Amino acid sequence: MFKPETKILIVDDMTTMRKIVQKSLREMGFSNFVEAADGQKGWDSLNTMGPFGLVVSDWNMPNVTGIEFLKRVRADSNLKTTPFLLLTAESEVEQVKEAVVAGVDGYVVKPFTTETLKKKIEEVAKKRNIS
Amino acid sequence: MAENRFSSESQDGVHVIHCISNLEADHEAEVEKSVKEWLLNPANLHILDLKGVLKIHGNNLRHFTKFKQALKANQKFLASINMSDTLYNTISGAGLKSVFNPFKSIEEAKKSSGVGSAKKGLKVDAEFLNPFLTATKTTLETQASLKLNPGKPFVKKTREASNIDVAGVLNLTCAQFSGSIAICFPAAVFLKIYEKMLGEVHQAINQEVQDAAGEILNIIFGQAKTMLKEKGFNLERAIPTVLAGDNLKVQFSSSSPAIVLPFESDVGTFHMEIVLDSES
Repeated sequence: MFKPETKILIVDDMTTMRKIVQKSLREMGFSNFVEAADGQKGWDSLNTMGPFGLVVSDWNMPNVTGIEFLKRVRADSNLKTTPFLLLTAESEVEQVKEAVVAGVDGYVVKPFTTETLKKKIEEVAKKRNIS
Repeated sequence: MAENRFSSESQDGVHVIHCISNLEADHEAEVEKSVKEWLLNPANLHILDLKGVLKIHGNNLRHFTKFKQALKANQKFLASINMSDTLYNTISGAGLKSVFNPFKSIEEAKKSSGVGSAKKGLKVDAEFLNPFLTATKTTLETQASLKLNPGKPFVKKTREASNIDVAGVLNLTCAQFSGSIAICFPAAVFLKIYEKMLGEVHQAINQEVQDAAGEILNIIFGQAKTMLKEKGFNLERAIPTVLAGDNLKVQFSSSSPAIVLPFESDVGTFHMEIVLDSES
């Protein structure tokens, strides 16, 4: 599992969802967060405030969407191995496929409980051999 | 002698137009003439079969746009099937996806338009409203641990809402409808829901707190969108906006009456309003 001091980037255009994610992550024991309001700001944060141990990003955002942000991260030689979890309000098969092809580590459908998010983060840690 | 680039057949209110080659600039006269002929066909659904077509010149795109507009004015539909990735990228790049309205099959296009299929004459109200009822219940039960009882939907008699202090509003757009949806809360109820969602107690609705009305609607819409797609309603993505103020009056620009979905919860009552303007 990720260490409690892991620096986590939370990206969502809605303040409320950033708070919900942060609340859940605090309940899991994490405390080191940076927030960004869209994919572009998330990208800027990754490049100026990193390194980050995990990115938790919404999909549907103005300016740069979550999937575009993920593709940028995966195309960058310095950032491409950053664990990346996508949040979305939709669960259409095509969307899941697109995220998997783009290299997402995990996919959480809203609404979600802390338990669901925790399980997904544990799966990411296992997949990445993070202990 | 000029090659005929189109063939077509009609059955059960569906007119399928097969396009047999790319449509270059010098084919414009034939496209224009064909569009005029197609408009005389009484079918309610016109489907362009674009198998093997990789390119449609901009001049011809104009005629298809006019075709779509003329059909829409008569409450008829245009769809397309067998669109190649190359053509899809061109159409999307030109902002004309809604003109060509691509589908995977004739059956899917028929189902979506409600023409010539078992869906003809379906009760749109229940088909369309139930996913929003289910999604609202799931969203607030999961995200705010709220116990929720949906009431019986009804048609709003006046165009004014009462006892509303904050609302999330979102546009609904798909082949069958355009419209709007709003989730409307009295302040006391909304602040309780916010507290249950985030553990924060607020005495009044401020900029930070009101954002939650948009996010709640966003999550509800995402779930409903997935359910509605299975029923043949392919809603476009949308980003919600939030309205807030004392005794807010949510008023849609549509002349259609709003359908109200009331909800009772353990922190008080709130409701959702849906207006479906017309077939697009």
